Amino acid sequence: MLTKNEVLEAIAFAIQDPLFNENSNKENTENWDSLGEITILETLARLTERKSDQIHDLYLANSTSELLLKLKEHGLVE
Amino acid sequence: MSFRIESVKFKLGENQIPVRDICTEVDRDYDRLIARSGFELVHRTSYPEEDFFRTFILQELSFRENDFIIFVNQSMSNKIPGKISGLFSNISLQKMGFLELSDGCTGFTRALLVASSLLESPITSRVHIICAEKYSNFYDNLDESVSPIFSDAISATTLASDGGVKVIGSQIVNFFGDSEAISINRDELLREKLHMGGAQVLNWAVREVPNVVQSLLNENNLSVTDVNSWYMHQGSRIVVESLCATLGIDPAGKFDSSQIGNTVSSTIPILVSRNFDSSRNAYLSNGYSMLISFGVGLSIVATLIKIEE
Repeated sequence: MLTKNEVLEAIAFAIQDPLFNENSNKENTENWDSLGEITILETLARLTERKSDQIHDLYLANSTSELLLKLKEHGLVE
Repeated sequence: MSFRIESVKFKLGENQIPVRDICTEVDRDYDRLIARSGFELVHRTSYPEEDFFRTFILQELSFRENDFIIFVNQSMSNKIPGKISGLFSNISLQKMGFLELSDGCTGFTRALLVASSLLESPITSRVHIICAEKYSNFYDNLDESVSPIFSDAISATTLASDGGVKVIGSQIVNFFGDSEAISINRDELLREKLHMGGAQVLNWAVREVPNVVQSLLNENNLSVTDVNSWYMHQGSRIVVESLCATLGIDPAGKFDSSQIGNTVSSTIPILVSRNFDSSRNAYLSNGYSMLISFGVGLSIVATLIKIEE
């Protein structure tokens, strides 16, 4: 199971935003645009060995806390 | 009953537009985009769609009495008397079968199932599947979620009833509750605008498409290693490579449209046309081929064909 920090670090690297953190959301993160959404989904898929692909509404997450909650609900993050 | 792929022809919009130029115009990071979409070039036509389609049909196709045409299109607005009567008004043959199919990305594979059935019947011995879309009617460069992705194109796949291509099985699965993910809406000036929820479509495709493919393989007591060739809808590099990862197949060469763009229903015909084996004078390799199309609907059509030529 992944830790919260592993998820945050991977997304920060993927969307090229070193300031990305657990308070980040679409409003305050410039690179979390339509392309950023796709980048985040793909990053999580690789990180979870594609298990996150099965989360039906993952694309709806608008903030880091929502992302982490959905991953936690599916047992993919501590 | 099996058939032969007699010919596959296609034409892209005459204007080649480097995606790098679109990115500059909309202040988008090209490298970041291209790593996901994979499209370096898109093609658009400046001609009215009816002229663009009709020119191709008149120049590239020849028809015989009792041929059958399946015309796949969603972008044309001509409702009555329909799209076909306008496009084919210069063709004098009266004894031809026609069918209009309103479908997007899955249009070719859906039409192939109809064509295969028609070729088994006494109705016809030759079917032309014409897939034509001008999506650029519905966006401009500023619509950055679609403008660096889609290309205008028309393709024609002619099938004849003698040959070694056989449809082994197919699965059609629909998700109409998610239909808004790729849809035409009106903006504040009442212009029709193409909307595509890229993340929603990716999330849906990578979750559902592998299940459909696996189910089709199970139904025929086959596994992914039995399939010799894969022809996947070229929605984007990331969706094709994600599907390969989930299916457990080598991604090399599966995304092959960086200079073409997403041509909607013409995607698979264009892939097929580029796989002509001149030593056998035949399209596609012998063995099993899996055609996977997905998108507008949302719908998935996976079709397994076997080629013995």
